[in-house]
Amino acid sequence: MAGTRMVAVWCPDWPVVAWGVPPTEPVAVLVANRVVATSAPARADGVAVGQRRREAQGRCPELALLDRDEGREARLFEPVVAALDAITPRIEITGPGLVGFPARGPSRFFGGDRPMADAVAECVAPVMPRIGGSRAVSRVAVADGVFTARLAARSRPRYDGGGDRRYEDGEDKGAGSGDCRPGLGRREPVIIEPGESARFLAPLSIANLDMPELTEVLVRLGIDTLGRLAALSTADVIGRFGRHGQLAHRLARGEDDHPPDLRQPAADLAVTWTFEPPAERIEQCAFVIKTLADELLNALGVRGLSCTRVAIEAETETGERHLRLWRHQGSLSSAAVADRARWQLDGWLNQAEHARPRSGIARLTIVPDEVVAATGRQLGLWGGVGHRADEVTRVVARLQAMLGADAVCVPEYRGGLTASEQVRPVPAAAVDLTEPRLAARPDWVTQPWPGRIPPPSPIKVHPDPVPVEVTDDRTRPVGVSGRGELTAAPSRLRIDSGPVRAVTAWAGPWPAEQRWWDPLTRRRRARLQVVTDDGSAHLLMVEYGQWFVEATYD
Amino acid sequence: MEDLTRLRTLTRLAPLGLAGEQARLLRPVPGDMAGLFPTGGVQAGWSIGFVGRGSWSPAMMLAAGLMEPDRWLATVGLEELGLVAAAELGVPLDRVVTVETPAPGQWAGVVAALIEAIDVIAVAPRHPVPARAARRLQARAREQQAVLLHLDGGRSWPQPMDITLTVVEQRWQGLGPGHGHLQGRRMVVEATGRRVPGSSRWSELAVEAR
Repeated sequence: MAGTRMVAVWCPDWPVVAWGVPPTEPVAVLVANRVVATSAPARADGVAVGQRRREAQGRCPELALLDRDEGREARLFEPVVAALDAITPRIEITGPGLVGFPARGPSRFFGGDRPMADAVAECVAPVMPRIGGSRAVSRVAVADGVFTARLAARSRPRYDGGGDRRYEDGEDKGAGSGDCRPGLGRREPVIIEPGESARFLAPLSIANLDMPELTEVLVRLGIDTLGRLAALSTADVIGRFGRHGQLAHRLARGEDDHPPDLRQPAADLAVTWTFEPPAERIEQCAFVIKTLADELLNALGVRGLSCTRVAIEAETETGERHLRLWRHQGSLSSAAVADRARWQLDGWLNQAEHARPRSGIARLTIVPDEVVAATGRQLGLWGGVGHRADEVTRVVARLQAMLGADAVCVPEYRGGLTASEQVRPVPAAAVDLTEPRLAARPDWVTQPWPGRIPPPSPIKVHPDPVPVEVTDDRTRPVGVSGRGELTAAPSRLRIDSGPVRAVTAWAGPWPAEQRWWDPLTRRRRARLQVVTDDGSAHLLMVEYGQWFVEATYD
Repeated sequence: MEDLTRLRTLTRLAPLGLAGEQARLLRPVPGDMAGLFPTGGVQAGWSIGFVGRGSWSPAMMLAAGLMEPDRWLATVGLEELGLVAAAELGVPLDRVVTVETPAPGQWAGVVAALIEAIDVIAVAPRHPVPARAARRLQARAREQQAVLLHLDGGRSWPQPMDITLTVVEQRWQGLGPGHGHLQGRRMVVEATGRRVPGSSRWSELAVEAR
């Protein structure tokens, strides 16, 4: 089932545009030392989102670095949303720079998707911020579902022979792609005809799903485009990757990520605050916003719900209202809701004279507009060997740097007689923890080892065997004869000169002859299981007439 | 008095509140052991002490339960721990990392690093852990949803254990005077600690190799 027909309006490189940088300058916007947005000339030099500051500077030495300012982005974006309000009241803001709304109503009004998309582009162009003599670009796309529309707005048309129009991933690399140089202002809207979403999505990279944990695994499996993911059977994808896999699969097939029926959540989930006195500046609202967001998320959490879209409404003393819908692909956290409320109020309070509210904000309401059942943490959904192993590998590397390579080990099965021989530590550096490790599975050693005592194995293995006196009921030492038999039944035990304990049960000896073929290293030993009157059970070992506690069944 | 009634109502209601955020932080424990935990599970950031002869086996049984489905176990300075036995109690050895006893000054740093990626950490420090380091580790464990198992009963840990499991008695099966071999055992375990309100809890556990 195809998703609702949606319009996406995307303003490329909005974090860069918001800083008012001329489109000819190489610029990167950073958050916590990582690139989150770039300008076209910077991309042409190889600067990409996700790079570290130093790497980006290495690619492009004259790169200007700016810190992200989301408040500023939201403020500059508000006129764009306000302009679109003239076309439809149902605008969903994903974040500054990207909005969507259902196409049906407006398309009917304008007489089709294309005239409507043209009207949208027409309407947005004059309010885009002016940078260096021209206005910043915006792109409009219409498609089935939010996800497809969003990707369509970001895609680049590629014309090949036969007049068939195709699209490919990616953002403009500056001067190379003539049709959308920033100076040109706008570009023809992209319309993906109904039912064509899957065909449009097929060649695009799987990274577009924006689910790094999942796509990392998929790419390793050779599934690198949305088309390849869509080609898998739904049952297989759900079986292997669970709910997140299902979501990704639906998106890849061009099916909407949200059910088209917009469920009206219970009204009592809305949270409201009345400002007394009304707030004139954003700083006065910050604390209230955070409290409201926490309260909302708590209320949702108790009901086992999470929220994918919130409506935030502010009202002034004089009755002016400002309502925005904020959409999020995953579920909104309390911090994310608070951010959006802050962006919205900041944007409204800082508009040009004519659009600014005439009095202070008297009331703020946050309504969870679309709710879904909460599905818990993403951790551990990808089966036995997952991204958890990547994290473990990183920590292991850090510990090895701290303690030395041999200090951090992982166990592997070996053939062997004793508990300390059957599993041996292997330096973790020598092993790829992210791959399935057969040698760490109990079925690795399949042959029964001769002379092995049946499980349970002792859980405390003494690295240096502890000497012990084993005596019979007349306090004579117990020994093992040449034929492997005890000289007397053991009756008392004295471990390492400790208190004497009475033996309540015992069995053995189990002879253990090791390397009998080598006269120099051969060892002739025998083992005995004993339980003493204090409830402890030990595995004793005798060699050359001397008894030791080899291990304890703790 | 009114406060007390309110408090009672709150405690009664608490499990309802667990539906959201809290429930995720709570890890179920293997069936036999559930009776020892008042909340039915282990909460993120807890320190659990194991005391008495035979207490390492329940420790590994608990670890095995907490490692489901994709979690790791790290041991620090537990060269004595018989991993064959741990595997027999259900610990998947392909998700175990062992760290040699670090120098006293490095111990807290090692455990802090492990907490970042590993959910169940078994320790038995051979020297007293400074109170500040312990508090920091506890806070970090809570954030990262890790659990510390103190195989020495928490002797060197400055804070009280959240729960201490003491093996009060164990009875072996399968071994007679001069015949048979150890097969399994039944043990009586007592749970005490600040998370066990009122009098202590008791449970009989069957410890058997899988």
